[in-house]
Amino acid sequence: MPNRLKHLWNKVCPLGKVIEDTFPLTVLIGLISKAVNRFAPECIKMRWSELGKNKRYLLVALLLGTSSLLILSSTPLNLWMQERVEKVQDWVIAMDLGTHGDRGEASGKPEHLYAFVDIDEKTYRSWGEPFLTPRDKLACLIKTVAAAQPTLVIVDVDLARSNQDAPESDGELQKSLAELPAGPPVILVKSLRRNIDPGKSPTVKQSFLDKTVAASDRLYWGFPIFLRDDSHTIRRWKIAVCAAQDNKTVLLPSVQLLAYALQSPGPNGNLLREMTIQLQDAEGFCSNPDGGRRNSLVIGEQVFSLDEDGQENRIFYSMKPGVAPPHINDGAQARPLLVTLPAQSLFSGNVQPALNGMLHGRIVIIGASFADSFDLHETPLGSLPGSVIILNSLHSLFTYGVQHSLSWPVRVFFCVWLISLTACCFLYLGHLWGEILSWLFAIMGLPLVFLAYRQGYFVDFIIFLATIPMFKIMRKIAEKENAHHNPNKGQ
Amino acid sequence: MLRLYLVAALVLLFPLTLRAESYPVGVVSGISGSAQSVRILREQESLSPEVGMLIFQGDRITVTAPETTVTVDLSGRTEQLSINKASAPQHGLISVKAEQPTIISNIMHWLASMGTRKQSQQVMLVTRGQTPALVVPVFRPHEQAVTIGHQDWHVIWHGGAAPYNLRLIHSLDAAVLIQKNNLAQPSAVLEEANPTPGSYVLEVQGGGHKATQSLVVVAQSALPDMPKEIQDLKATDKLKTLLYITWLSRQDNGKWVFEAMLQAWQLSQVYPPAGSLLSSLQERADSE
Repeated sequence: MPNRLKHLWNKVCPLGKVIEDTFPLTVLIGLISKAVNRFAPECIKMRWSELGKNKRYLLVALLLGTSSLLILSSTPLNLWMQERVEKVQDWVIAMDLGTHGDRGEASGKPEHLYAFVDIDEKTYRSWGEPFLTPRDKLACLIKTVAAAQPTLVIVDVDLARSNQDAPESDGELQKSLAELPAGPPVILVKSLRRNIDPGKSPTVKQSFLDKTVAASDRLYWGFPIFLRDDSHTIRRWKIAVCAAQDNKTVLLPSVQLLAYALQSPGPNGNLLREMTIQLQDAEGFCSNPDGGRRNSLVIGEQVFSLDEDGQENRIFYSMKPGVAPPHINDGAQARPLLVTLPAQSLFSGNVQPALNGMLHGRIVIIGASFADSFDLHETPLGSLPGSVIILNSLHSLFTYGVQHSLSWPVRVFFCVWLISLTACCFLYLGHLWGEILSWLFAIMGLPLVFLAYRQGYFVDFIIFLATIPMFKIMRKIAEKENAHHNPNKGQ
Repeated sequence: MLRLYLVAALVLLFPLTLRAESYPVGVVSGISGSAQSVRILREQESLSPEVGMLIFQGDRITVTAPETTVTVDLSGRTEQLSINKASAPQHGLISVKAEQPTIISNIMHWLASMGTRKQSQQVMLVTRGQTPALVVPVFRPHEQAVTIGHQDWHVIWHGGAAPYNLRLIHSLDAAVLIQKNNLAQPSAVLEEANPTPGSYVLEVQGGGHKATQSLVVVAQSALPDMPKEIQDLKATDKLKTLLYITWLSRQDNGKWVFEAMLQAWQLSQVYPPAGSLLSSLQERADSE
């Protein structure tokens, strides 16, 4: 191989060089091969000596590749690996942003569309920067949105706290909600608070709207709950939360689960009743998570695991305000997946006809993005308002479900196949071209990664990438051994 | 397998283009002058605009009176569109080209942003607001503690390229307390930042660079007390404070250097020797 190309390649891809120089690792692999040669049973040694050089190399490569896969999948290395896998998944999500195409028609499933009524910085300032979102204005927003006949309205404004300064506006909101004309269901968001007793479940706040919600058949309380990882990034949503209410521990549904139950067709029009029964049935999970009778909910087509310790509930972020949204073809026209409307615009006169066209048939969330709302959170797409995270998790749930891991046999097959491919590259092409071609295969595999992603699955191709330097080392060892046994060859 | 690969590659290279539903591309954010002289023509209809009115693709804004300006916030854009009588014939027709991203274009942007990331470390400078602003380097390998205060925070940094985005993030729940976007200059004033005691991250992004600085805001009572040896010294209060600041800067593995610098600056306004201490603290911070 020309030295210039080799030098250039080492500059472009210094990883191989770094690992090649990792002396202890090379020594370790050499020691392992010597140990096997010394301690393996005779029959294996005989079969081994009958194998050709290439077959031996491939077999060792496969064994090492799959064993490293197993080691990487085991604890505690798995945790280390998971962090890298999460980063790669974040990258795939970011690269796919805004490109999600016309899936609804192709899959035969109805595609849900979304709208975000944004109480943005300008709206907030025009309202005089109040401590609490003005209830009268919120009532007006809910009425205007509901009149446009969306399929669901979510109010992502904490309504647990009553407005002591203007109790009359609380009353106005109460009255408006109680007298809402026939239309879509409305989910009101209520936050939880820490229990004063350490170690106990959080408690549900009382709200001035509790009676109104209890008396209505279309108002519901939902809880905005997410899992935040060590880097404070929100990557997953939670199905339900255990909370103390009326002196007992209950399992309360997240906004996402509630929205899923309300929007999925079922025997009573939707799956709300099934969800309620199953949540009550699973309340034992709160007191005894390991030994409870039930640790999953089966609602409609989805199985929701309450343990939530794997790839479940990963949010496939595909919407971000400010990024051109993908369009969904509903048969008649292409509609944007997400419409963002400044809340201020809903107060301008004669806006209803335009809203009817835009919000009809959408899931609409009313939420805030102004800084003082403290509802901006870190996500793989950067900082997003909590409402947009809810919409993304809903879209993720409706489109891809909750399970995003390929089954174990498929993963093993995929990895073995890739490892064999890489091993062949190094075997027949030498370590430089072998490495270049392996990286090319990795790049060429990207379309498949994105294709799998659009089907709701993450492919852990990082493990495949991790094997490339390993094969490079193996090839080097093989070359050194050959040189050692045949010192005159090549002279 | 080959067919699957080809389909995937085609989807990436040739995204579907569909007839798009009309949806808002902006909102009227202000009207100065005579509002009666402004009209918005939308599909044969002539509408009278008001602040907050949605603007759609294909709308035409007309302005007939001089010294009247309509401003429109366009979705996803940082700059505003200003239309007056002179510019209305040319710019009054709203046409926003929302380019649909593809995976390839996203990857190209990502690669481009990687390319602009330089290896040199960015230096961030932070100060609590005085006039003229005190500039002290605090970009250090470990976090800094600051006592609670009611002053503005002046933040100044080097490196990167405009436009800059700055955020003050609460470490515990990642809530963004302050966010300032599209800053043209490498500085910002956080008016009455006044965060409650807790851990924060100050983050600045610009031109592919990103710098973060961990800050711990503590109550005044959390500040280490003046050592008894200094208290008992037969010296003026100013000298005792100077000694205390020097001592403070060495405590807890340099955690209080920033606070010591702030106190040294304040003291230097009435006691010039404190200026020398400030200089040495700055030199020390620069060299670390």
